[in-house]
Amino acid sequence: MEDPYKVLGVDKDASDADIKKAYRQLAKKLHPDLNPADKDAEERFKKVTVAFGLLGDSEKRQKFDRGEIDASGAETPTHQYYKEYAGGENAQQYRSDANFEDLGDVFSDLFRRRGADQGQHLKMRGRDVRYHLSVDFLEAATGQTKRLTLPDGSSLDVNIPEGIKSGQTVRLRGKGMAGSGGGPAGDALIEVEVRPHPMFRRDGNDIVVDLPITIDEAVLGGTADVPTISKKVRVTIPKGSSSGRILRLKGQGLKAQGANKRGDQLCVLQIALPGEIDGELEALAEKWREAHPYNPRENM
Amino acid sequence: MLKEQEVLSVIASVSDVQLRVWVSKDWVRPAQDGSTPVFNEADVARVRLLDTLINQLEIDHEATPIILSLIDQIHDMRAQMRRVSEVIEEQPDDIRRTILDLMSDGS
Repeated sequence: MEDPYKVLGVDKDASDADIKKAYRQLAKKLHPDLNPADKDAEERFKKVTVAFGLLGDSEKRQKFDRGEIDASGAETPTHQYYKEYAGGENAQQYRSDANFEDLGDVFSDLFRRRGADQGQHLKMRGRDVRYHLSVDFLEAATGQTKRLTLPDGSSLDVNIPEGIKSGQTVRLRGKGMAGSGGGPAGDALIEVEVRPHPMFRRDGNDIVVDLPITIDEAVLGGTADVPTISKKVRVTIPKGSSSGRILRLKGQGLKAQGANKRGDQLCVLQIALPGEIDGELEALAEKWREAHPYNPRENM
Repeated sequence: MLKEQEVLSVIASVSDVQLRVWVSKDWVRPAQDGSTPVFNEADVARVRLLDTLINQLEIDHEATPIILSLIDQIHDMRAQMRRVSEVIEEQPDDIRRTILDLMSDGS
């Protein structure tokens, strides 16, 4: 369909008078009765007439300029708004990941009924599919294979790499939507969330724990068995340890991804008083402090 | 199916840079023919929607994926609602009556 402005040889912002003038000049030149032998002229004259039929009528011209009708005068299809396509076979790539299972059984069955991709003529890679998987702190620390159940009932075995951080994604090649026309399947992207542990904390590739010690252990030193992510380790509490002192257990942390190095476990000593302060302890403390005052706050 | 240049010529208010950014953000998802993006009618309608949201309504890039997600969820829900409605319509009269009565009681 040719642009009627081009057919009449005028600019888009030509006035109505200009358009009329252009038509008259072309009509005079091309009229079949004035050019009986010229076949081309007749074709062109038809086009010019049609174009003027559109642009010569000011209401039609305005509609055309706004895009409501095309050059033949036909209404342009309203298939321009996305809602016409939503949910249709050409818009499967926009299906939301929203899960309606909380609305009841009826809805989870409906949700599961996804139509298979209509085969298209082109060879296309299937879409990636995103999942979310929550794992324990210790599962993430040591690495684990987890089974992920998919909405359609099938399951996927996912290898959680040792030392993975919360928020990282595991990519399983070829486990996404099927491709079409012989194209490869997309990937499954699994975002891993690592749940916190009541005792172990992560700091980079190190593990941090608070290690409570008694007053007497703080003063006199001692030994303690400390759990790590793999085993129990016996540590020596140095004589005269204050709260906050860190004992470093080399190699008891997490494996740095892609390296053979391991982080450490840091045990932060915390002096813990007994649950109930008995009279004997009080008396001891009072007597001691008279003879041995000291100020830990002198630099504040 | 349209190629990138054809989409740009049909929707004049969108620039080639914009279109590529929107594809990279997964707001419009053309199929891939090798490394060339190919846009079907729904994709083109999607580009028009983005043009309206971003160029005309001036919604910023932070809000856009939220709005798209809500739109998509609403369409999915409408489709489910339509299906439930169809199923109810197909029921014999007494069952339909019961369901409709129950729905008009309550909250």
